[in-house]
Amino acid sequence: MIKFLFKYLTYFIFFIFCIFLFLPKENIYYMMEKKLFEYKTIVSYEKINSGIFNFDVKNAYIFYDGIKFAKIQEVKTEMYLYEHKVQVKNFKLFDSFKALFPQNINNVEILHNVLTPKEVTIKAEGDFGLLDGKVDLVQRKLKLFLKASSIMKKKYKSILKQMKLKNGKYEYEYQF
Amino acid sequence: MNINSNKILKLIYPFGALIFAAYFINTVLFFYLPKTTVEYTNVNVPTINFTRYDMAKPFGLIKAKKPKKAPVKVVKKEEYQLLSNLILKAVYAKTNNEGWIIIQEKANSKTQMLEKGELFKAYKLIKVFKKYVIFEKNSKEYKLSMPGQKEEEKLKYEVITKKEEKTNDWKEKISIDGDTVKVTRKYLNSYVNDI
Repeated sequence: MIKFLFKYLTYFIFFIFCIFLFLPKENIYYMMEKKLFEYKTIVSYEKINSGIFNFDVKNAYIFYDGIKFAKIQEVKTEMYLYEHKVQVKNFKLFDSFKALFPQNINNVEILHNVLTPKEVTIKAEGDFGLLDGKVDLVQRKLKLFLKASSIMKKKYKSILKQMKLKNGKYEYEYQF
Repeated sequence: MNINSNKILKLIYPFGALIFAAYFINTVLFFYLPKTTVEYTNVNVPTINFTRYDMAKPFGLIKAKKPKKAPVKVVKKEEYQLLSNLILKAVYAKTNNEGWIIIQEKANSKTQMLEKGELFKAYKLIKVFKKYVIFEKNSKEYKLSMPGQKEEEKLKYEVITKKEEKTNDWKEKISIDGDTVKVTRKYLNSYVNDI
């Protein structure tokens, strides 16, 4: 029985490996771009680098409704059998949006682990402070916890007002 | 042997099938997914060619400035300096100042053979002597000598004619040294005496 299970588990892992190997990653990225376009958001002028288990986008400009919105230095996507990871580095808003949102996001990490398949964890760090959260894929719920920085508390009170303050952390929930 | 190969095939077959299945699924996915990216193009930027046109000039409102003529640079061709640039290497002189010569340019050590009447950089070889040659350009003559050649040796000789005692004839002594000619006084006096 154990031999049988081990055999089919090997087949399954090998099959997943082959799926990742032949996955048309660039086309999936194009599909995501088209989905974003429906929300008036365009990712442009980027350089794409596609590997077997990774997919990187460098120097991407984001336009919202025809206005230059932000620049992302690097988006790294790593797909392994046990873990999927998306890392966003140096996300910078253009000056015209500086008054509405904090300008710099230094690092964002989105993780999906095989051990917790229902959840996606989010960690971010930037001018707003420290942020961590979870996405429940079954209940389709996003929960974020923000440890706001002094800049955030001073300049972006309007954003913080939309969040609940619990134990010194600002909490935000969104159902999609 | 056959049994062994069958075992290997049995082992490989499911993996091959899995590769094929994964490839097939991804191929179907590839046909379903979009093939082109979405890029931002700014449609508000006019693409009409911009031409700057001065309206005031055609109606004489502003005096049209004459275009400045760029100063024409006159490049002076340096005249070839024959004497300072050439070395007379060899002379084959015949009678009537005819013959051939071999000259060498100092700059590149190139040698050239010239016959009387031939031109070398607008200089015409007109006379060939044993130790030097004469070139001509613009009715000017240029003398090119063999290197290391000394100035022509100065002519130096004496002519002595003694007066014979019997005939009471005069004594003559003329010494020539280059351009100077010395005649003894006694000899000159004899001419006076004769008068």
